[in-house]
Amino acid sequence: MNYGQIIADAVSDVFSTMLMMEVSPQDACDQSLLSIPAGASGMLGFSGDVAGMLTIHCPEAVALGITCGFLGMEVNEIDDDVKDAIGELVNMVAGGLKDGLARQEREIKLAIPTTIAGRSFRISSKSDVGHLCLPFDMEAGRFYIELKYK
Amino acid sequence: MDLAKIITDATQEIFKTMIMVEVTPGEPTKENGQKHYCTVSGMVGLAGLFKGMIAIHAPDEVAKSITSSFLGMDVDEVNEDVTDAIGELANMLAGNAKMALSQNGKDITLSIPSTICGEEYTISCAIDTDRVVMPFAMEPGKFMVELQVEKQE
Repeated sequence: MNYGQIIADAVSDVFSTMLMMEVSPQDACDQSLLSIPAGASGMLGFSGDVAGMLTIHCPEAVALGITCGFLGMEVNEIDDDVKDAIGELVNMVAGGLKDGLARQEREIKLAIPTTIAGRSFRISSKSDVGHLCLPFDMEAGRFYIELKYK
Repeated sequence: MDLAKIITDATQEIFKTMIMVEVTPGEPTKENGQKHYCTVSGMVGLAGLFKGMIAIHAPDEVAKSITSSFLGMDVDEVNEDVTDAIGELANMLAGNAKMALSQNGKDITLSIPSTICGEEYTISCAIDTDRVVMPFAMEPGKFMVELQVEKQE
């Protein structure tokens, strides 16, 4: 199963249709533990033929840039609008992952999106799960999409 | 549906059987996205008939104490043992709660657990949910268990 390609397609699709922004996928990194100094992460669990967790890690500047693209207005700090936007973003990318997996006859069901925001936090999972981390570059900076599954 | 009761029953049972500790429930609140300082949070998604998430938030000291009892060994810092234990605890709470949410837990499946830890962060649901946050008291301090499910029509 080429999860990397499914996610890269889902991300490009969401950014070009919903945000009118270009993103370029970078080579997968094998960081198992991402530490975000300040920013927002959108997280969505799923289960079914594959169970897992999809997370989007955005440094502050990227989270603000994405929210600005969604809402068409300037935002200067990580407020409720930003948390909603990042939650909505992970929801849409997860929708793309679900469709991509369905085309390969794997069915998943999605939980609800949550946003983690703050200064200095890390997100981890047990080491016995499959793991993929894809960096994407956009104008405001680099963000990471992380998929954990089993 | 009494979310506070579901959480209280699940938490008391898991702590009694897995950690051998009695925990005392406090007053439930409905706060979304409260601030956590120097805390370890374990979180699991629920999908299917009910979509939602269940999370446990334990301040570092409490998380270390829970891990010590869970694993039967001393823990001095928030390390991988602690994040694994709190994630596993969230998983067990979710497994227990899903039985109460639907008959025999049918039609509800769990994502894999994830753990968040750090100096200062919030965890908020980005959609409209029915929710409850239950505080519990145990020997070294308080911790919270949170259940959020998508609003039912």
